[in-house]
Amino acid sequence: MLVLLGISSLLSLAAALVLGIRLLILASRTRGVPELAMGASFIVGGFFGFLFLLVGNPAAGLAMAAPVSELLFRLGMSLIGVGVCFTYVFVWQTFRPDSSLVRTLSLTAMVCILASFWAVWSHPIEAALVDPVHLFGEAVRMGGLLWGCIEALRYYAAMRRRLALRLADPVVTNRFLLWGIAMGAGVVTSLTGLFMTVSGRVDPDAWPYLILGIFATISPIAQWFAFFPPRGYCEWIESSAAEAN
Amino acid sequence: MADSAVFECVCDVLERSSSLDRLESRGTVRLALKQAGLDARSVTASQMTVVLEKVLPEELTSRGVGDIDSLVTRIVSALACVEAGAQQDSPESVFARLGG
Repeated sequence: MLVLLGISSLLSLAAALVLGIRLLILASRTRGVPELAMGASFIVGGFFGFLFLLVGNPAAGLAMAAPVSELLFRLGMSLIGVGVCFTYVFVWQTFRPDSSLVRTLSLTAMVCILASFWAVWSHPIEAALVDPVHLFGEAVRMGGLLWGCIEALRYYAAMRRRLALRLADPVVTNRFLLWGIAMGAGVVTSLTGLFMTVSGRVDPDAWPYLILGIFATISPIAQWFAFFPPRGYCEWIESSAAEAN
Repeated sequence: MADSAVFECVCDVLERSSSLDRLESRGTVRLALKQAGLDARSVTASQMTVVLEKVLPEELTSRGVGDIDSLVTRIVSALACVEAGAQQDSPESVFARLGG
């Protein structure tokens, strides 16, 4: 299972780096806030945050002085939190840019996530991971992913109805589904990680590792197919939609 | 966010040209839009034209409205006069950009 987790980790890092750079280049052209937020989320949280977390994890087996690995671990946790803040911005700006309630809730969630870093930086790592402040921050982070998943799948349902009337592009319609799946897989991965931390079930042969490995693999693949779809995949989606109509 | 000018125009013509009152007209058009996966606040004239031709006739028939073909033609011609307002960035347009 460690091999599966290793493969999924490499996939996640590669997808986050490539997609992040691609979306930031797009944002520099379009000046669009959603692509800027999503690109920043991939680079800050998905690439640097996850990379520091992996390298700083004692299980990685890198011969590193404890203070250095702890610093990397703390940095990783914080950058992943900042990445989720960018995800909040993306979901808010994409799906509900005019709602003052959503703006207030999103900003509050971001403040909660940033404030929860206090636990990670002020306690020893083992204590910080089960500190109520950190756990609350984790819950808010998961809330952002869950919200993105629900908004994307809800919009996907509407896009399917448009597609039946030829009012939507099949590839764009499918992109909502894939992004919803990626966000949903992110929620399951975070929940499993949290369960392992709180319950202490960190044995690589235990079932949580299998769940973690599977969903951590699904997420980057879905993101890749959503934002960087291979030509053959697009053709398959288009021909399926044409047959259905 | 208010309903779009396109939606208001269709409801006005439908109310004036059929037996449906204001509330019924708006409800009927809203239901047709929902069936098509569209929203009254952001629907465009071209999207509404498809809804008028493919979804609305069935809704009007179920409400006992007669001479549907000429009614739809009248609404479609009225839509031509609606000015396209500034289009907001919809989730669809954002996701279309992200893959391009």
